Amino acid sequence: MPGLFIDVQVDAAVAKDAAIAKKLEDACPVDIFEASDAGVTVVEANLDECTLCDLCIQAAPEGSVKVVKLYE
Amino acid sequence: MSILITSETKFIIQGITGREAVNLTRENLDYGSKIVGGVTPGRSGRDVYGVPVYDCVRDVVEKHGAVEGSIVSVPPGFTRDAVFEAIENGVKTIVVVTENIPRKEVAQMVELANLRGARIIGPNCLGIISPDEAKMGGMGGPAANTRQAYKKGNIGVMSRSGGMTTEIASTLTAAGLGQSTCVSIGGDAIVGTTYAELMPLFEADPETEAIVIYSEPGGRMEAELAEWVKENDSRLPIVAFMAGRFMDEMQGMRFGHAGTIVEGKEDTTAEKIARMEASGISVAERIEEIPALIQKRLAEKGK
Repeated sequence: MPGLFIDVQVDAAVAKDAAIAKKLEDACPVDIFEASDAGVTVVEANLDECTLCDLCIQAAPEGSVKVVKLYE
Repeated sequence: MSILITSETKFIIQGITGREAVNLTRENLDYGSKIVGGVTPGRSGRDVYGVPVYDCVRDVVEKHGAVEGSIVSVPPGFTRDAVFEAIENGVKTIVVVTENIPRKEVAQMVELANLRGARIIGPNCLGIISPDEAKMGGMGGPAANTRQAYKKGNIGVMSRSGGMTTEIASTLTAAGLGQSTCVSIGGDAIVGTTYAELMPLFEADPETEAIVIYSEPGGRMEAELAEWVKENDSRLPIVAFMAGRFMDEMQGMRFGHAGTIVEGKEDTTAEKIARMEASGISVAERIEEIPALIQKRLAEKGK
């Protein structure tokens, strides 16, 4: 279930990369990403804490993470 | 000169008949600001300290011509609509005083402002002051106190904290250093204008010779400012006062403003200080150090 405010989509191939998962977990100031050996999980409960800082987009390969605005 | 507002800036107050807005009206008029009208739906025909009240922004514009700014002081549930109304009626500088606005609605306000070429200061802020010219918002409180704390000069001030804006200005004033414009940008996680977004305005203002910012743990604004300074080879020396150093020992604690969520490494005071100093920003450990650091940086530039 997406948040009320944004949704985050991670490219399926990138989502399984443990190294990128760790980068995403470290980059997000509000814990939207949780890393494990299996890759990254989006923590839906934290989606509405997003500050639109774009650090996740910068941390991942170009185009592999999308912050979808649900308010436009 | 100054940035964002001058003694000639015509602005309105949306929600002018509310208790907080009535006080703002008095304080801003006493300071010399040009408030041409106020808006409260259903209260047209009244006045607040001589400022005529209208039902909507369009009515003010029809009566008084284009207005450049608005202070929005309405309850959180109505703020987005009030800001949209201001933007759609051509208002370009909007100070949003209200706090506790849902994040989604703040994002919508900022998005529309960007699309229409308008600028939002705040939310959850005390606004803007160009000392001895005008103020737009609650900066400094009553006019007599504001005149004591703020003096005309060459230092630009930007702060996430409204109270600390006055604290810094007052410290500068006491040291004989006046201010060009001081901006309280707001303490929320998403704000309409960041430090880095104000820098081009200060950079273009011939009156401004240096900048002071108030910095807290949490958030990305100082990192963005440091990047902007490096990328644009800024002519302006910057001094940052860094509060909340104790928080590096207390991970996960929040400093007060909603925008100061401390989680990531980049958010800590140690990391912020390192980034700012690497970009040439001087960091003050105590407020009283700010004037000497500014004077030192200005002297290095031969001023």
